[in-house]
Amino acid sequence: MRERCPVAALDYRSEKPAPSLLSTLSVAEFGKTWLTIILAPPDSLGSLAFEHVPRQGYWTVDLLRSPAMELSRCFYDGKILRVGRLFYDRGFYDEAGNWVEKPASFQAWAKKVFSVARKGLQRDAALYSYVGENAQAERKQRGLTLVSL
Amino acid sequence: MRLLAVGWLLWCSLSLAAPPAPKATSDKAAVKSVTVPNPNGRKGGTEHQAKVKEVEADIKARGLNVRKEHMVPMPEGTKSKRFVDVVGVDPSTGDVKEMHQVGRQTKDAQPVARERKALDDIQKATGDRPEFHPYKPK
Repeated sequence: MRERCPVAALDYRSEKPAPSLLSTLSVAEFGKTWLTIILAPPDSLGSLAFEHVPRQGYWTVDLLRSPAMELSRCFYDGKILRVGRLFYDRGFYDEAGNWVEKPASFQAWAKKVFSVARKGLQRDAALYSYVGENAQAERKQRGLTLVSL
Repeated sequence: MRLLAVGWLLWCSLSLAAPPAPKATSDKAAVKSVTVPNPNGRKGGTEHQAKVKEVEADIKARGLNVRKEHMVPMPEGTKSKRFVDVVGVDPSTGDVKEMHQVGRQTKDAQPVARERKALDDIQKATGDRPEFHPYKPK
């Protein structure tokens, strides 16, 4: 991904209202590592808005108002593979009720991320998903179940 | 290494969902379409957005992760899929733990017909009925 498109990966949780950068997009330990992380254009990190979650004691990116994307990574336990997703908001309503479109540069970047992610994957209509070769092979050879919910 | 590859390759699965931006309405169209059921599509408007934010904050406060516009396939429904406004997921497994739908309600405090239909469909497909959160449009 990073070879084809500049991406900054951020931990979903930060101790302060500032980006907590990740060195890898991989899941360290399934069942323990939080699967959701944030992706953003490296040159937009200064534009991120943060919101506090006091009861859990962390800060996180306000995805609605920031030039950032949510990446829910897949969960895998050897038996099931729960699909992940990429998601972003193209804009939001401001306090006056006006629609605010996110910057065109961000939207172009987001489209590029989607495009790169789709490459090499096959659409599975029944799952409404894009499935990779390895997942398909595991599915056929070992009966791996792909879970869409 | 292989396991990681499996996960990696599925990342962009499911909705790849950037919701459509609200369509600009031309003068001509505005004259023609007097009653637009939901001009902003799935996004809703300002009040809908505010209520969604409120629900999200509550989910996060309880230690779950938030996922907006969660797609539910409807293999037997009249629609091929529905979108739950907000779901709370287990942060480390991605398992959906709760579902929330935000919408308008009638004078007798019931979800409006289109919301009831959505709730029914989602319940039929998942076995669980989303919690309904009404908002008041201006």
